[in-house]
Amino acid sequence: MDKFEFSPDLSPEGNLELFLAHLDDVDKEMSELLRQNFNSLFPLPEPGQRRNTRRQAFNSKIALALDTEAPTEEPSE
Amino acid sequence: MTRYYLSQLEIEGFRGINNEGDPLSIHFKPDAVNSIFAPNAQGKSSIFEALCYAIKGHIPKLSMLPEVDQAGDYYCNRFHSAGQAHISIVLQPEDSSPNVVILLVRDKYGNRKVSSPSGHPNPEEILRSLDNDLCLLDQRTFLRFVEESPLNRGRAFSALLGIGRLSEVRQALAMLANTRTMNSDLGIADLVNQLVAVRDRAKSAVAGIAQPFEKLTGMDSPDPFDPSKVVQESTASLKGIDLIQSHFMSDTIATVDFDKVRETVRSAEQSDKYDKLTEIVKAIAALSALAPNSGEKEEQESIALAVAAREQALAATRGPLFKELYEILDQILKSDEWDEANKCPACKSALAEPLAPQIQKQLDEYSKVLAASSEISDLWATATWGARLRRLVHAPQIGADDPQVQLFARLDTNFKSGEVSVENLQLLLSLHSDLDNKRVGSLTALEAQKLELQKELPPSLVAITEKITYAEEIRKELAELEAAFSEVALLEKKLAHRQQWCRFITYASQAFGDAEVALSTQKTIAIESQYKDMYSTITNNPDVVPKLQKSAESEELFLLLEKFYGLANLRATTLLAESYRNALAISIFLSSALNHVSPARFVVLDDVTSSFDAGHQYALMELIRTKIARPGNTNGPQVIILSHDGLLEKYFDRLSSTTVWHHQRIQGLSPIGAVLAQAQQPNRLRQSAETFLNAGKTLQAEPLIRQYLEFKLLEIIRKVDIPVPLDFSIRDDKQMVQNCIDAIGTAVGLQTKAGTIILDSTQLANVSSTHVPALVSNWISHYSTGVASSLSPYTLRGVLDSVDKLADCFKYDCSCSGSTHRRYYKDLSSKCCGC
Repeated sequence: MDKFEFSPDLSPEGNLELFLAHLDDVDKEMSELLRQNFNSLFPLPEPGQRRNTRRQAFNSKIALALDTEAPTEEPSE
Repeated sequence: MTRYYLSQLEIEGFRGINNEGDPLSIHFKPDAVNSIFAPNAQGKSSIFEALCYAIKGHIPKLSMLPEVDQAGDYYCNRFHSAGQAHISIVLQPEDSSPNVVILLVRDKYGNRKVSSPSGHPNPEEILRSLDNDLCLLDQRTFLRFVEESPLNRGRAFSALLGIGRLSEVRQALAMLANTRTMNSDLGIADLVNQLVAVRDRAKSAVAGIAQPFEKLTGMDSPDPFDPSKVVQESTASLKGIDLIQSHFMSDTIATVDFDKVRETVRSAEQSDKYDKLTEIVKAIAALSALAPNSGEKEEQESIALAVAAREQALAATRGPLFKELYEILDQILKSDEWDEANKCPACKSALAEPLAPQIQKQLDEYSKVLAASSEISDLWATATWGARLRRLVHAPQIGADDPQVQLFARLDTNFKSGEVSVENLQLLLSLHSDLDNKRVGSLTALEAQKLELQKELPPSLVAITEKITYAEEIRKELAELEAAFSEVALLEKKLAHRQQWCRFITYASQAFGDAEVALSTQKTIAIESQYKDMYSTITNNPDVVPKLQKSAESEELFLLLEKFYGLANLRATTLLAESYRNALAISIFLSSALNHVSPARFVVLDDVTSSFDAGHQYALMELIRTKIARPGNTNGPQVIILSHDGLLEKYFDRLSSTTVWHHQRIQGLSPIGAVLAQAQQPNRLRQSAETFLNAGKTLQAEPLIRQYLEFKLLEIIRKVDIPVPLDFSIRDDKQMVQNCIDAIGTAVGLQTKAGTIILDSTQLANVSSTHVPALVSNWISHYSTGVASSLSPYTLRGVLDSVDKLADCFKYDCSCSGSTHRRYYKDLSSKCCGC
């Protein structure tokens, strides 16, 4: 897998999309899962209890989604 | 890409701005630097927050608050009767196409509705396109950059570079990729434990098949174990018995009805004794399956060693409370919040040696306990004697009593967690021994009964009955094995899927972090010479040259001094005064903003100069006016400055008479009543005050009256060029009206004594004996002492009239344009024209 780099000419949102596209190549299934739940992480609270709660809620959703979908083969890096 | 200037902002019912039925309306000029001054608590921050909410969809400051603060309930003004906020934004495209008007409504339930009265098809998309770090800059970001730890500084720095969003995503991914929390949140350890337990069940079932299979077939269990071969051999064995052969022509031991097979045998020997024999043989088979395994002794010795090691490690610790204390201290010592290695964060005692290694030593002792517990847990999970003991406890043929069952349940829990004492182990071994003795005793008694019955029954039927019973036992264990296998398959699939996510998110976090560092470094290098130039312009000190050093491994950013009065490479945070650090922060931000092209062609700075020295403030404003903002820099952004600094307002006021600067003052009764922009709306200000007075609402009227007075008095001072003292604008702001009157009175007095006063005798008399004394006696002294509300609405209306009449004392009739109109004198000794 090629090293990922941001483009200085793109906006942060554009770069973010570039990164997610890169993750599609790494593991399409997991990348899709990240995309579906990504926005629920933001705005990110300050470190502390609220951030922990946000993380736990996010991971609960991921765990549920992982259990309901059959795993696909991971692309080799 | 269409770029937009901010042309107008209207706010009602949002944060500190109530303005029910009369929105605060602020106009901005695209070709001027726009400044807005407001004393503290007059709604200035609410203006910035309204823009944040419109563009970002939330107010970052509120989003950071803990859940308990219920920040979502504080977007709408609490005094607005509908509890609904309206924000209207007018954007002026730089390509001269028609303005875009966007209206946002937030209801009291927190719902956000965006529409475009000007008919834009997708107003929300326009707002999203404006969202970037270089459009809205608040004081909080500044303070983080100059004051906080290298980590927080690095994050604030990303915002100054315009990539704060990437920093936020980086933090989010790092949060998700934390191995410990990831394993815990996704239940990885639980799944592993479940797998161990189910595999153990499978192992136990395989072990349970060995003896009945050997008794039935005379062979050892297949190695490697093969369930289909077990079924095949067992079926073949029963099929070889003539009496019951017919049952196995199409069935196997896995499908046959054993009751019917037994019925066949029973028919051959009609006897109750046969039924009794069947029961005994079944019981013997069950007890035989619970016989000890070969390696049990060694397993027990291994677990005993682990238990002893755990007790020894535990003795070196100081209990769970101290463990918590050490962990918290360790966290603090490793965090950026504590940088005094030889001082205890708990009691602040000074220590001869660094505290961190001592704390680590204590924590290591607890780690040894954890390691021993983990070993016990693992040994117990795979112990065949443990699995056998579990079956002994629950086997009806053994008949364990309630205390024994409860004791096992308690000890089993302890062993699973690994938290086991030597005493626990002894209790368990003793229970194991008691139940095993019971098993042997029961088996002996049953064998004796069987022998008695065998004497009375044909030997062949006894052997057949035994074989049927062994086959049935095998079938039971095979069913258990099959259930365990399918559970293992399910758990393995689940675990593999979750581990796939863990690997993915770990990679994502690392790759993102690396890319963010590279981009941040690249952007810093790109603006390096520009921000250094700006810094030099603001501070006017060539002996101090800053330098930024970004960590390659983390988000940390270190502020260094490339040059410091001849010295090199020093830490800036320890040497640079706050104002200098602020100058560096704003230099970085403005350099980034100048190099950034986005749909938002405006930059809003909220109170970013409040910690600047006065000299730096002026230098910065001059830099913005001449080099950064339109029209000084034709390619630059429209700059909007929000400030509560009285000294700066003087500067703003001075420039507001020019075309390159547009200044407004915000004042009113925030958050209860109305807040108005003064420069734009003096008549509206007066009308609003009168409306309140007519309704008898003196409390709401007072701030507007004061604002109107200030406006009119400052207008006289500006128009007639009345000199004011140096500290004019920085005295107690409640005394501003008094300061104006004093300045006017002093100037009029001087000119009168010099005999050069231009005011006619009536005007002069009115200034010195009618209006000013009336204002002073009826209003100022009361207002500045906070007891103005004792005045009636009629008196207060008189104050409004009085200031208009006072202003008229400084005007004359001018007929230059053909018609006569009132015009201010040029100064106190001359007119503007020859009239």
